[in-house]
Amino acid sequence: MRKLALEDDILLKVEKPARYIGGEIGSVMKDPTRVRTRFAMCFPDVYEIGMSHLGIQILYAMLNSREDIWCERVYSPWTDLDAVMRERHIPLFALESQDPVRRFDFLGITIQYEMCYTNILQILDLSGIPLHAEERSWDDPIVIGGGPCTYNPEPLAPFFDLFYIGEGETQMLRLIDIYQECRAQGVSREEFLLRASSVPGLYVPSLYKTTYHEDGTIASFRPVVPGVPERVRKEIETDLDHTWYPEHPIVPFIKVTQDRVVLEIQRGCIRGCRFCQAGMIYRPVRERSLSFNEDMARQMLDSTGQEEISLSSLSSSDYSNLSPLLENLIEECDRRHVNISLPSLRIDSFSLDVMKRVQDVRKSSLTFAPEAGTQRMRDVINKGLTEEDILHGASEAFRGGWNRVKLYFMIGLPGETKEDVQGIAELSEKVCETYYDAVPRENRHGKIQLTASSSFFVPKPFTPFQWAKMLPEQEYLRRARFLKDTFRAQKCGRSMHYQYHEADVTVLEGVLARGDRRTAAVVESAYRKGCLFDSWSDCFDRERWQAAFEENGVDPEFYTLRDRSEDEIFPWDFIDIGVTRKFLRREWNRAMQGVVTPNCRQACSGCGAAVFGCGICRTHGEKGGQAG
Amino acid sequence: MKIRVKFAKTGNMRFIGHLDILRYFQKAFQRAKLPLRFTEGFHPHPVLSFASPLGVGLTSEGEYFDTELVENMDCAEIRERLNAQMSEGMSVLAVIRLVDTEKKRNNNAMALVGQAEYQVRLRKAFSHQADWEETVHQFLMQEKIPVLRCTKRNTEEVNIRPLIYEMRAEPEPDTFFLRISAGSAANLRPETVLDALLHFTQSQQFPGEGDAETEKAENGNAGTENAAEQTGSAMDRAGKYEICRLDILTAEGIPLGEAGKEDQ
Repeated sequence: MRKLALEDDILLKVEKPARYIGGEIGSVMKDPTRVRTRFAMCFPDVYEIGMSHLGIQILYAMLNSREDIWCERVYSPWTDLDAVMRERHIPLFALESQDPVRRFDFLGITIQYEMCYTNILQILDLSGIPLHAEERSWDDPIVIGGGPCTYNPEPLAPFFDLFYIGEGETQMLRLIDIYQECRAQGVSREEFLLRASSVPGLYVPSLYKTTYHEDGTIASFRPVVPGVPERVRKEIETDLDHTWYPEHPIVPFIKVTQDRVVLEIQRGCIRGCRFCQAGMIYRPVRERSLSFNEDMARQMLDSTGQEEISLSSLSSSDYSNLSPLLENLIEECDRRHVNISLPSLRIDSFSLDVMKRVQDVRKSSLTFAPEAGTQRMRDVINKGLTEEDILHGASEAFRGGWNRVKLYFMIGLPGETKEDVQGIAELSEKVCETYYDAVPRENRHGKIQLTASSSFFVPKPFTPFQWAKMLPEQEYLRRARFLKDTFRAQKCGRSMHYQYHEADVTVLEGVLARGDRRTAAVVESAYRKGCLFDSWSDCFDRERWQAAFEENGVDPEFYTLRDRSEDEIFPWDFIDIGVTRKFLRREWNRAMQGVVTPNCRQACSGCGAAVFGCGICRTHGEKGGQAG
Repeated sequence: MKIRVKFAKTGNMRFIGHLDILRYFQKAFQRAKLPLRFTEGFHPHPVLSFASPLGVGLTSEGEYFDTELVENMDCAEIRERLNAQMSEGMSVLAVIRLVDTEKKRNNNAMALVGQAEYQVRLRKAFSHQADWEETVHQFLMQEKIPVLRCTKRNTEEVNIRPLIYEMRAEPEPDTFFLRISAGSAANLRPETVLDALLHFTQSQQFPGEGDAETEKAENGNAGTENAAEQTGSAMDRAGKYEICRLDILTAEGIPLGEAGKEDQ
């Protein structure tokens, strides 16, 4: 029996002890004396969230495919265990071996959202690893970050030895080879980091220096050591049919957020919504072949025995082989009594037909994401969806038997007017009215139930909206309350439920999303003051964060409310995502004019992603992929 | 084909709760390609009915559930295929084919439960008695063993003596064997018995037990003079006792693995 890091008295006192014991089906055990490199892969949130992340499962399969590497998992101890571990000085451990993280060669942390930054410091702190990279020695693991937030890693720069910009499949093993070589040669940790900086996609923050203008904007950002690349280009897997995929995903004992096998049918998105970071940083869209997807679905269901499979992509309706894939999957899954879950589908007659076959219409609700309330604003954000599309989709859905609808919107988009906000309630009203028009009284199953949710827009790096300023917290709330009143005033007001996200978390997310190295001190102070699990509304403590900003003399409004000039140097400019700044600026200008840009399949807009020479750029791109 | 599966849940699996074990076995059958019968309707699901849920923190050498396969298969093969899919700490001990007639409906595992056997070991901090054999003998000689049972409304005194069928100290230190009442009619928890035993030893003032007096005084404040209080949470259990369920039996004392077999 594996000896656990935590004693019974602790495990039976904390919520869900299964979070901390490992041993699940599909988890990989190796003999520590027979591996050369030990890798702790961390998702800095609670187990149920972290176990739902596909990226880690892909890298876990890839790293463990090498006999000389043992990759294990680490998640954030929930606040109850956190307190016990501090009190009793129990070091953070990996789930498989239950060995302390500090003994590992690597600690890899996936950084999926800004509100997990204090959790990253918790992981380092509980592991007994110095928070600052400069204080670490060979006694500490190499701390490497990956994931979408590394497209602006600067607010975390002092805490990481390395950042991996892009998709982990391509260079992780090479990095480990270099590490093994360095350790065998007995070179210094600094020398290893220097060698690592020459690997494509790898960014060593300690090798770069930022200088600032008097007004606080960046004057320069440069390597401080000769030979270190000025820019870091993101890594992408060009052929998604010949790469690692978790054929034996781990099967958690307890229910996790994504309690199913996940089939990533494609990566990237053709749409080009101007607020969406994923739509830009994962360009170009690359599909997996029909046969790859079918084989992988079968293998994962065989190896896990899971009762549900989910198709994952940013926009499943755009997958060219969706229809044959679903035909095949529905048949396969019927036989196995397996459910199919289809998120991110456009609502049209094809997808409604499919959804009817895979779910109970009466019990499920349909989700639309118009994102904005007026056509003007949908054109500004390049949503490529007309009111007619939405109402037609809704009408078909209602005739198909659905009467529960969820609508997702954003408030605070660039150039938003009162009409745009009002438009959200008015569009929702029209959707409700469509129900009564589309379904004759005798066919109705009760009233329509419509839930509209709005989040406040946060400008993200590498989007056309990276120049946009945000609004003060009070203004967000004013607009949300105004919208709530507008909803109430609608004819169908009683059938509609409107809810909005927290404004204070939004503002903080905005600071960290476009923050520079100076915001790192704020994150550290907030953590020292006890901030943890900031993405959990019960845990978020705005006063502590406010105090952290004040303590460090950092003005959050500098990051959120300031107009950014066209040629301002952004903290993330040293990263090359293929998509050019010139293209993003052109998109910003088109947004301001309310002009729509066609999607990648309709016409290539020359965004620059063609430099990767793969995916849709090969089939639909301009020759040579002219940038800009 | 209706079957009863007997399994052991040991080691770190003691931290996995009952509902998660149910989901665990559903997936194990799928992986083993053993075709479970699913219910009809829009949300078909297999039916696994467990004899008696095991609390978090307890291990077991004899858990049972009944289920049904859509085709007839060799029981030994089912067992083998399931065992190929088990995680560390879980093992399928036996698979038996159940009598499959309408009349024998009441043969399902849960309805059959009448008794359960346990092995309980006192954790170090609580062991303060050398001659457990004699103490257990004295303990069982009592006409009544009253314990306090707290319900939502009030606290009542219950005599658990008739629910203890067998109890003895084992050769291993501070370890006991229990055969006690279980099931819907009168369920007795092993820790309740051990709480009562510890309470009893303190009130007996055995020689060499220096701190018995003080402990008695502390205990005395808790409730009725000679009634032990029932242990509540998993935490209390884990703090005091290491409990392993050895087997589940019918009211007549037949292990569930023997009851309801097809050839009976």
